[in-house]
Amino acid sequence: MIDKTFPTVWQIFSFKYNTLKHWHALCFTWLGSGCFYWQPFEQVYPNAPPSIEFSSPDQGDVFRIDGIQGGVAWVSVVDIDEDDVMDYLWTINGLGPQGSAQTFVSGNYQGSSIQLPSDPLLDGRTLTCTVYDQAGASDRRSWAIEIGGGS
Amino acid sequence: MRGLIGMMLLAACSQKNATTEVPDGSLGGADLSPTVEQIRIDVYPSSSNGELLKQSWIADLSDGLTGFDIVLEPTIVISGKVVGYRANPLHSEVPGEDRSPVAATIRVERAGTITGGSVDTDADGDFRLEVPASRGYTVSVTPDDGLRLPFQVSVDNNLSSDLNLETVDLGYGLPVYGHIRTLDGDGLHPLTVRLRDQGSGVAGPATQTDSTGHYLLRAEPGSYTLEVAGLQGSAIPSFSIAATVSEDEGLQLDADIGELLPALVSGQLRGEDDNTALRDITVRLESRALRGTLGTLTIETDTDRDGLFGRQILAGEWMATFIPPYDSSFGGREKSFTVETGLAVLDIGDIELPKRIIFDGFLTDPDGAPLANAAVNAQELGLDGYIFSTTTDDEGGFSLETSPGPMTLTASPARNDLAVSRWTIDPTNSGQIFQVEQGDLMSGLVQGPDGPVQFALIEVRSMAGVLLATSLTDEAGNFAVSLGSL
Repeated sequence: MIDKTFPTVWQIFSFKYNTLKHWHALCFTWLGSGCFYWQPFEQVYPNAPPSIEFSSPDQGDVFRIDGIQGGVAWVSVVDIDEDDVMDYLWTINGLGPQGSAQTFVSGNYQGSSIQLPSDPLLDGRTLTCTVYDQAGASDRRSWAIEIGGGS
Repeated sequence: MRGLIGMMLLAACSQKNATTEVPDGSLGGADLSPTVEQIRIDVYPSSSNGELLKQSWIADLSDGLTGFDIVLEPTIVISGKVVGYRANPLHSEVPGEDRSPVAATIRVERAGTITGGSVDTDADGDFRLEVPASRGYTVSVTPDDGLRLPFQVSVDNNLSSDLNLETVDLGYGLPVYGHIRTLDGDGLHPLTVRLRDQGSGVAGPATQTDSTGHYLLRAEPGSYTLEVAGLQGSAIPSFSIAATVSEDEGLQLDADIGELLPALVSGQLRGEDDNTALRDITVRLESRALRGTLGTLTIETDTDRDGLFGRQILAGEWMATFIPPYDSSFGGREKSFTVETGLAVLDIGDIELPKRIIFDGFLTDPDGAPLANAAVNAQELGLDGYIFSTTTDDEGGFSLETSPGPMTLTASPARNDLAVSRWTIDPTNSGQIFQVEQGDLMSGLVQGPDGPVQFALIEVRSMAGVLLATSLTDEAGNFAVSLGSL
């Protein structure tokens, strides 16, 4: 049995809640925007940055280009944020952004590859791939370029 | 097979085959055949695949598109020492200095594929080259000194294990010499001259004409193309002529290039919106038909800080291509013009480059449902072939900042039942819906000597080298992608 001579916890909470409700109503009516308003809680998902998982060449290795076909470098990227759109920027120091890269998707993976010619102009420079997600978070990988074999 | 290196490779391979396994018939897939419909699968192993090198697999389309069992071959080492004689150029029959180490480039390549590699010799003429085991290799040795040393080519070599060629002797070769002159008989200097082996397409070492327009090369007997080019940026056209070097006899091959009457072509590049001068724009001038002169001419230059350019070219029909940097806010354009014979100066005036535009659209599946997470690549037709890339959002939408000219749009769905699809588009016509079709599934397993090859990049190409689809192998080495109509 509940002793009705003393208020229950719920009754106390309910009293305070009702008081607050009236206070809020007063605020909206008479005080306009100068009063607290508690919005419903909204779950916030922090952005997870993209991460380069695999690449060729490996991080720190030399990107050696020889032969008639030139060379291909590539990265594959994971980002746990669903439907995040990735942008890839391939640059060569001293030569700026490169326009011969393309994006690919394969099942749950996506990435980008670039084909470069066996051009002595590239020898000794650094190739960098930076991947950005929509929130601006990024990951990058760089390789020293070596043009070999009498190019 | 031709030349000393051919005999050496034959001998070395025969010796190897006496004690080691005969090369597997499936090395690198099917035999390359110009008469059979084929497809090329290029595999680029990732960092997780140890020492495996990039290599191509050739497949006959008549065998179907599924169930490929692609075997990546292990890396083998080709080594040896290159020596030569440096014959005295004035007396071809008299040996020059004693046999000595030679600075040279060794190329081992399977024609029409990415399989192979190249390396330069060290100061002692020694070389060590790592390539995948494969068949149908073309092996060439090209000395740096084209004036006194011949180059050698050997085709159709099956290399299945490490091979030490020991001493590769370039021999003397035979002299190929001549005079490159204008219609008036004036020798042209400096020109770059080289021989290209007609059978294999391998280029020999380059040399230059002397101050009187004479050149000298050395070559083994065989059929070649003599390629002559002006130095980069000069108003001297490039041309080629057939050259057959017979046994025991050198070849004299003179060329009359015609009449060279340079004309100065100039212009100025401006932005279409505010008329500002555009600097660092690549200006590529390509002849379509030269008048009174042999061959073709291509000259590249950049605009200066005032957007100005000027180069000497020759009389004829020309196409100028103006190419901004990839990250420019302007698109490129082309302009044709004619330089009349006898004209000394031609100002082609102000050329306005268009602003880049936003091209957006939507991808759907065959039922009209939005296609999320598909790769979208738009490539310029002409100009420098820049590629602009993105992926679709969860509503199938995409947006690209591109040049306003015609482009090829390629959509690669994440779902492998849908085809990699292509359209030729006018990017000024934005907001279109592109419907991807069902495709022909292509699938297979990629394995190396140690088992499945995980997370390797797969590029499916036509035999002409056109990229049809890109994929990755999964944890088990499997890949699957759908192709549109081949």
